[in-house]
Amino acid sequence: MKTKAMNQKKKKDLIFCLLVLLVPMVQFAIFYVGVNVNSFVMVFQKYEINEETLRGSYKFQGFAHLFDNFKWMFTTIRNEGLFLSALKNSFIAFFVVTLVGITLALVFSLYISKKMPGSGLFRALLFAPSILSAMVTVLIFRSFVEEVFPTVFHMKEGLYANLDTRFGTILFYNVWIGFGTQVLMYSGAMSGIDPSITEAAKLDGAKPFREFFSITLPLIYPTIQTFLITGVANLFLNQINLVAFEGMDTLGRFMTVGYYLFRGVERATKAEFLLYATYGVSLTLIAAPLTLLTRWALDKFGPSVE
Amino acid sequence: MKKTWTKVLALLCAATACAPIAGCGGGGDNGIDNTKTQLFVFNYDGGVGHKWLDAVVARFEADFAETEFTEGKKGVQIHQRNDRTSIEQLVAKMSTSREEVFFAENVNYYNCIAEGAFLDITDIMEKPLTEYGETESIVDKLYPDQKDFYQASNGRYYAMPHAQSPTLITYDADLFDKHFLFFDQEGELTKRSTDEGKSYGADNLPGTYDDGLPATYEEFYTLCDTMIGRGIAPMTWSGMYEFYMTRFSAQLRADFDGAEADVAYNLNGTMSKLVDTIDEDGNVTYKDPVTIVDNTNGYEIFSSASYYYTFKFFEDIYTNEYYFSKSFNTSVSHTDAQRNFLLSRFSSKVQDIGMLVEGLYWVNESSSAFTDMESYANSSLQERNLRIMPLPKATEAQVGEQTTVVDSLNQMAFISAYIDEDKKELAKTFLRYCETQKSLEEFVQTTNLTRNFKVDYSNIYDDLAPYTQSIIDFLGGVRYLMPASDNPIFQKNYTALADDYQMGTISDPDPMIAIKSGKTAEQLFNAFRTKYNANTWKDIL
Amino acid sequence: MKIFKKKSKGIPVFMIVSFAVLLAYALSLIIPLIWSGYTSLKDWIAYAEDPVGLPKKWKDWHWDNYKAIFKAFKGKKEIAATGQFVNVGIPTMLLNSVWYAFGTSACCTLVSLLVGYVVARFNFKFCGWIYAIVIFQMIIPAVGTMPSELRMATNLHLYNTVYGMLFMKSYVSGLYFLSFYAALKVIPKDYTEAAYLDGAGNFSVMVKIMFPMVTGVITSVFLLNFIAFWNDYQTPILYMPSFPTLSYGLYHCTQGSFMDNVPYRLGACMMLALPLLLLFLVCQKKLLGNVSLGGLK
Repeated sequence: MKTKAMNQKKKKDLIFCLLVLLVPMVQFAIFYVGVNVNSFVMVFQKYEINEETLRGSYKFQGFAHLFDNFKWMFTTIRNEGLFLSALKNSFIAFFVVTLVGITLALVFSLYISKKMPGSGLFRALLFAPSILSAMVTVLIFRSFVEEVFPTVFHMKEGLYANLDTRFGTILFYNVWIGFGTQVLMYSGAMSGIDPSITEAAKLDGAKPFREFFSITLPLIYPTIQTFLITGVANLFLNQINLVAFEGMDTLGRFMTVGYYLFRGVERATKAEFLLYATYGVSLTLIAAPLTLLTRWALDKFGPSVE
Repeated sequence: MKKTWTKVLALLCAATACAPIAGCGGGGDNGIDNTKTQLFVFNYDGGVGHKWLDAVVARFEADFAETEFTEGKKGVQIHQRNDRTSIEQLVAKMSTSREEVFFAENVNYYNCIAEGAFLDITDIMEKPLTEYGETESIVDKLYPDQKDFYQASNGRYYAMPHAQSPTLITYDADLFDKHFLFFDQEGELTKRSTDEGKSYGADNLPGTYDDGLPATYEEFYTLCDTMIGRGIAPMTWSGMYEFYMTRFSAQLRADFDGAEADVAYNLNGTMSKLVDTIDEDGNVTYKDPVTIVDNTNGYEIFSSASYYYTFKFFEDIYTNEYYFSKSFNTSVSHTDAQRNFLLSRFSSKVQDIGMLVEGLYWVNESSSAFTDMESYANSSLQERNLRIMPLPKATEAQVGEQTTVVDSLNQMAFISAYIDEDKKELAKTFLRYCETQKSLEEFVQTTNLTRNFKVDYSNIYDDLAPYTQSIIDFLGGVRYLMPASDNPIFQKNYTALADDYQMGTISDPDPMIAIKSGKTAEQLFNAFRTKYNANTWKDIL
Repeated sequence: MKIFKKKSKGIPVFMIVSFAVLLAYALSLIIPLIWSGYTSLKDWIAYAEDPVGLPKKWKDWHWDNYKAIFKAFKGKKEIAATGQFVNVGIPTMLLNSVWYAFGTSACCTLVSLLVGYVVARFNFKFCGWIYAIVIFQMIIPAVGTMPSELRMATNLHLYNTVYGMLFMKSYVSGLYFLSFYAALKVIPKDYTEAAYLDGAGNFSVMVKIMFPMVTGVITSVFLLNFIAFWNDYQTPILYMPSFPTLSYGLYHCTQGSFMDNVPYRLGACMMLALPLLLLFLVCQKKLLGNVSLGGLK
């Protein structure tokens, strides 16, 4: 009798879930699967031009040449070295922008959630750049570091013009501009912590340091986890606003993988597109397990409330 | 308070719901005259602008006011769309877009043909323009190398050239005059532009437009050193868009390779100036015998001495600081660099600048600056003695050789392959109309630029601005190349081989920035030369 | 422990250092804004001569720069029936911006919320798969799909329509899905069990019990989406040429030959940034109220 009721409930749940998922599923099928399915097939295709009509078309490589596009990709990587430096930059950007960003955002959030002097204003200011489009902030930022810095500090050239400080300047900009969302979320989560818990801890004689690591951090951990997983998932997509800085013009050794692919695809010929499709699929094969691994590791080794 | 928010929410919902109605608003008065045949034209509104199109459209509508292009409709109404939609977006939307005739830039011609986006226009290209009283066809007006480029391998034409856009040096001839910066026969800088006894310049012919200007890189350095000695910053360029210098380097390379320059794009031909060795003093010995390049050894193009000499030229400019202080400032856009150049001679607070590296079309981008300069210093484009500097040669031996120029923007005119059958005749007639002598001359008069055809401008030459005259002088005698080919290897490895990008595959994309980052010309050249070898080349075929 | 050493007044050194850093941050935002503000009032010649100093005389403050920028600030709208492009003014673009940003962020937020809800609260096998798929689609460099996306939108008659736009933006956003998932997952089962026993259906449990518990997350995700879509100019250009938005207008304006000098460029930035910033600073208490992402409320 009980199992029947359970089954009944389960059936209802299933129908409910499917109904709720209907729109997203249709959308996903059309604008994700439908649009992207080509890139998967392209990995094993070649491009041919009809000599009469000059029209080009993609055709199956044939089993003898199945992995030719991968060979092409590896040769390109080896000979250009550009992709490898982009890979390096992507990791640097991840560590600097994501990790430094999260750390600083936590510090600021702690300050704000403790309602220290000016915390309301700071919270608003930290969020303010997020409401502007990158086009606007990059333009103001770059004009400022290029024109005002050299004059005020008597430097020969601006921080962006100077090739030794250019990448650092780009990273700085990304950290500088990116606090908004994180501080908003962390401070929100922190102020959501039941005061009685921290009070109890204080009465038990817990020092602030211990309070932070034993109570605050574990309680907002899901939020941090979300940002970290997103950061890893974005590892090969992050363009660190290079498009706003440079448009589609090349940046050589300052690019990240995300920019490398974006820029490459923008200018690729139909024949060259196969190369970028191969890059895309290969990188996904690396990033997907990496992201799931990160999630697993964060679940397993994360802090818990004592 | 909650109520207020609910109200705001309701208003927002209402706005979303009303949007479709608002979107259709104004649809009634759309300016379409249904008694006439409609033609939709897209024009890339960049350095060329759209004044030329306004002019030609007005004349076309008047000239064909009585013609029936579609049954029952007399006359033509042309609608323009002038913006900066990229060619990729145009092609992606081609099947649904209403534009029928296009004037676009950065067109990768063969890739677009392969996409099936362009209409075959061979008939209007090859038929002489007799209906306008001319004997030549449009094909006859092309430079020889251009003819090879536009005629696809099946013998058909799918597009025609639009404006000329090489990246060159503009110099301020008034400033040169003021400081006696023209060479005399002895190689000293003592002359004015109007003086007798000037050196013969890069073409090594007396009495031509380039007399007194540097013939070689060595003379160019002498000129720059002298300018610095007289308090002038020799040259400037856009710090924000580094590709201007990349394009300039492609220009220098093409001129060095001369008649062999097209091998860099079609990977098919003889290369006689491939580097064998470079000694300690930078002297280059070429490979002997000459190398025949084809698809199997296309990587040989990267050891062309043109790369080495161009890098060396940039290295010398950088290390000797032959540039204006803001040339690397990345907040200085191309138009800012133009403005600094224009202003410098009149402002006591900005150092005088002698030369500007820019696309030919820059005077059009700066038209509002010229207007401002007119009230500031009474110096419009017409009044200023700005001129194109012929390219100096890398070596003494090359002085006197014909100059080779490579296009920077690949601007083309074409018709959509998706055009309605009954509109084809009108579109083709309009495109032909734009290529008549009258229209080509009008283009020069409205834009101060030249269309990419070999045209005799002697009728209008005298009334043109000195700048435009110098374009006609210089480009009249050059070999004009389009920097692309239909070679499948070139198309498959566009990023590795195309002028704008190839440098970026080994270093910073702009050779000047690569030099700035501390690399020597020789290091850069060696990186290029060893990039591909017989083995790795196979993998990219 | 050293960093938390207390000072006499009871404020940890750590907090003082934080205050200093935050103050520096605030200044780093305000100073460039002030500089851009007065630079946008110079003429280009004065800027070329001295990019840093203040304009000296009263007549050197070119307030008319803004008049010129305002005039150049217009969008182009395609009339769907004829394919003509006509200029439209700020009011039309504002209306388009409002419905576009509001409608699409509502759709995107709702869809991410619904999917997050299903995956977090139900134990079907496919829930795990959905989680994996969302992660997967977050990672794939979905670049260069523009032509096929356009083709798809055109074939399905979604191109250049409001409902088409709203449907196209009804996608699951990775970060926000994860946020909803994390927030909904931690709510104990007891809350819903009681309601189910009282005979409440799945829908009313979701809407009446669960969603109110995560309003903070919903508000903040909506807000972030709203900002992103407000600033988005790419989509309107490509997919809805009949509905130019303000961001599209700015893009159009910066791309045109008009924005050819630094004061004008900065002026256009200020014109777009200042009203938004002021509006935000005035309403920030309401907007940023008590929002959180993934934490307990």
